[in-house]
Amino acid sequence: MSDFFDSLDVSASALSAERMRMNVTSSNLANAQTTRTPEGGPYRRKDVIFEATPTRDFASVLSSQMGDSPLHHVQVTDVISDQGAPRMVHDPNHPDANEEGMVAYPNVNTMEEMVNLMNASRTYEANVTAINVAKGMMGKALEIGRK
Amino acid sequence: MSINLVQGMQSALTQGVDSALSVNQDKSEQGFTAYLKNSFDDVNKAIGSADKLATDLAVGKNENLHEAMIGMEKAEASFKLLVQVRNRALEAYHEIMRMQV
Repeated sequence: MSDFFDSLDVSASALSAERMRMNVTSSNLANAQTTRTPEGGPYRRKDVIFEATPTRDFASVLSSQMGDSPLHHVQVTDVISDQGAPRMVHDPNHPDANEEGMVAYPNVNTMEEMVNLMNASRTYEANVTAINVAKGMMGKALEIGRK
Repeated sequence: MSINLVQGMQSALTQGVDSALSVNQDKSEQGFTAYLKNSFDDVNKAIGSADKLATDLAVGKNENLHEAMIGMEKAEASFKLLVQVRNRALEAYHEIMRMQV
């Protein structure tokens, strides 16, 4: 069983996930020059992992287990750190420079992050459009038989 | 305010339907009244939760803007359906009142 509201819930989960991606990308951009972190070393680029999960409430979990609901929410299940090598810049006067005068800067590529940000924004828009279309369909259904 | 509005409409309409159906205690028509009451309650609940979402957002308890918006959309859709049901019920009533005897 699925009604109009299910598609709204699925889209809502996507909006949450995209907002999380946007937050993580913002964090990457904000820390593009950060050389110190609580864990030590430069900031490491973060990335979100999306996972399709059966819908949250009991009835929909039951129906998805019965195999009659193809609907899946999307959820951010993990935020991973990119283990790529840091960007090394020669700057002997920097307090975080090593013996050779090299400073380890985060492995954040600003261009890549901007593209991720655009991607998150467009996906968010697409899901808002899906919500509006679902709402439009509900409205059309209410027009049945109207004089 | 919106909740009171629906409740006022609920009592007015269910009373009307009850009295209109009182001549005929058929089970199925009682079912319609019960259905109507149930849907009033559901819509009330939807509007109540939308109200709560908006309040939570305003006081900072909930930072999910889209959830509040979607909750309000759901309440609006439920309310529109309710209004349509009311319109049909009234239409049927008018149709019967216009009947030539």
